[in-house]
Amino acid sequence: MTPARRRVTIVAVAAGLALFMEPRVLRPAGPVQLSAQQVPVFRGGTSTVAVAASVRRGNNVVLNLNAADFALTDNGVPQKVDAVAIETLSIDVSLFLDTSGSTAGKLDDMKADMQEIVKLLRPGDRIQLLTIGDSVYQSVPWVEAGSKLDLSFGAVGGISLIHDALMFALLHRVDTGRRHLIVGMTDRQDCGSVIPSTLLFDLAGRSESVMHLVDYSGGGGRVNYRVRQCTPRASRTGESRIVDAAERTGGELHRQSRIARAFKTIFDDFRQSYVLRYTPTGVDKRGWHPIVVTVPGIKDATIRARQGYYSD
Amino acid sequence: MFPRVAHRAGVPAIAIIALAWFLNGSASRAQSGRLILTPLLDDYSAGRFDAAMRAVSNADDETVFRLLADLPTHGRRWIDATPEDRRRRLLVAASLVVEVEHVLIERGFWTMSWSADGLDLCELLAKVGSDGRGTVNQCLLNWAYALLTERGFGDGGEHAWVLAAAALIEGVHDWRFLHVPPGANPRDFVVQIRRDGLGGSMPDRFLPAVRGLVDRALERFPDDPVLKFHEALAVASRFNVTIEGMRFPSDPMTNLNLVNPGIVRLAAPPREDAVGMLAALRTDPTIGAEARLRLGYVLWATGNDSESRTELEAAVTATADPDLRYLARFLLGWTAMTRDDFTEAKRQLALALEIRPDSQSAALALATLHLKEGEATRAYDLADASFAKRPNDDDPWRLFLDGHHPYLPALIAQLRSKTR
Repeated sequence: MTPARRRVTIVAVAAGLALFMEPRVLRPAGPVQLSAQQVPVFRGGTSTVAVAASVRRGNNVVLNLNAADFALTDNGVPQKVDAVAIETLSIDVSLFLDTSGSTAGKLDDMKADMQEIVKLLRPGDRIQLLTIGDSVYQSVPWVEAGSKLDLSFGAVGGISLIHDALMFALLHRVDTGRRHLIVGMTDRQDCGSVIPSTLLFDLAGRSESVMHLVDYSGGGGRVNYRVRQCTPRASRTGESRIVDAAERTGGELHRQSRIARAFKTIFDDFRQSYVLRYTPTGVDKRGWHPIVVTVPGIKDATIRARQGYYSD
Repeated sequence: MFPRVAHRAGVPAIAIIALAWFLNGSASRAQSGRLILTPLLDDYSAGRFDAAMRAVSNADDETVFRLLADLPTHGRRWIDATPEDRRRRLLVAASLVVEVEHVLIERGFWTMSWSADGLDLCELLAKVGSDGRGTVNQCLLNWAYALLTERGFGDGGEHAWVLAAAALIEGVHDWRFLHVPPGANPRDFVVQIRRDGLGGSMPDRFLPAVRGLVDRALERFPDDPVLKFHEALAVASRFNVTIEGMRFPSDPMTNLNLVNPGIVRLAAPPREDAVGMLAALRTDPTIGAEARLRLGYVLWATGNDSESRTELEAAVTATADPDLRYLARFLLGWTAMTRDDFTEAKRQLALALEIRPDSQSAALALATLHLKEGEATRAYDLADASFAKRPNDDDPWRLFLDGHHPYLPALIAQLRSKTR
């Protein structure tokens, strides 16, 4: 057994023991209800900053943490976290399916998975579906949980407006009392977008949304789409910058062959994340404010949170 | 066959089948997976265009390819069957080829040929299998154009055919098929760049020099500005760049490493040719405004910002066509955005949206800039309105790199009218 494998096993055993010994781990949450005034809203440039954070130990979500468990620095300056809440808010989900030619062979799977995904939503949640062809399409406008989806989309070759679709997702107005989750199922090979990846990365740092990506491509098979060349395709730098943008929002890149399964993982994790609110103290610098969140009491915790915000 | 089916199904079924037969209105329908060429040509020739093309559209791939394989033989017999109508029938057959190729292209069939010796390749049609499909597109179009030259002098029908065929090919971005610079060395023509095992790029196939389709048309219509425009477009389109605001740092001849697998790149001609060819058309009353627009884009793509802005501004005032004016304003805004001149970018993008409200490309770019500058409400409003008011928009910028392909339906309608 390699050292790395051994370490993983030890962590997993520790997590299993913790199920019985540590009351704060893997128990059903006793959710902290947020009042209207406490609604976490991340807005760059405002006096209060709210940061979504998920905490895992190994593969398990760590639940029932409170404010005292977190340490947060803004521009390197420790901040007093005012509130910690397990999310009970309704969620807006923007799902982007890359329907460019490169994913054409999986269209039927995509449609079946979409129906499964809608079933995962809870009352009060909403979802929109974005797809791409010659333009970015809102293939399913915002619908409530439980809605029957009328799915009709095809694949278009040659053009792949991934940056533009993700930017449209970021441009969603999040109503008070709601949170916004973006899940992009894409191979990240953009072609023809108006928005360069540099700008997508920049704007990811100004959005209130959390963006996850699922590596999704191929599927083989030929479908009926116009054969076109894209000259030239996006660089590898552009592909990695899309992932950087997702990580900036507190999301990450997932590798999963089935959309519905990947979505469930992301959605469950998002549901069980925390919101840390604070009023920046001792930091007056304009521009980008890097944020670092830790949970000092759990040494092997993996924390995923927004990487910072802009103060204009 | 027909009476037997009717007898089993009873009278209502007879009526339904008869109605279907009537509505189909065509003797050229697929029978047992086979399209019969002669009745198809008869239908098309008689003006039953939609019925003929519906039969093709309903046929499977193999059936359509077998139809194409029949053209050089059975099609030729159909043309020669009525000498007094031969000139028109040549145009009918050539037009049908363009329309059938359109069906195939929409199904994903177009590959760059490994040889461009057009008419000789048609001899292979009888042996066409799945591996040979790629050659069918080009050689059939070349064969069709050879039919038109048999008619003697060039006329409006031939001109309409060339414009439709050029627009079709521009949709697949196979610029080589449209234009080959004179005197080109066959070994200069690099196509189908593939990745080698070490992550580099290798030229995979080479094309011999053969005159492009538009080149040949220009020999028959030497002063035609629209054909000259298509020739210039074929040259200029090798400078198309839309990713990351990237431009060609120098002539693409020296930058083959920019090319990913499957991308076609001609080694020549240089960008000066593209600029010169488009510049020569700037004052043409028919195509001048679009020539300026394309020229502005090429100038920007090759690093000449100042002249690019001049041409794009001139394009706005040179035409009343809202799509061309929108494109010029959008490009002025988008190129300003790529050089971080956000004030000018927002001004131009807003002007673009005055011409074509809620159009997606300008709306998205402007919304992004508003969000970047903290004007979130305006940004959200723009994005929402674009989806709500133009949900299935044929945004001109999204189609810009496809040349005149967006005009293909109108060009085919024009071609059809010339066959009567």
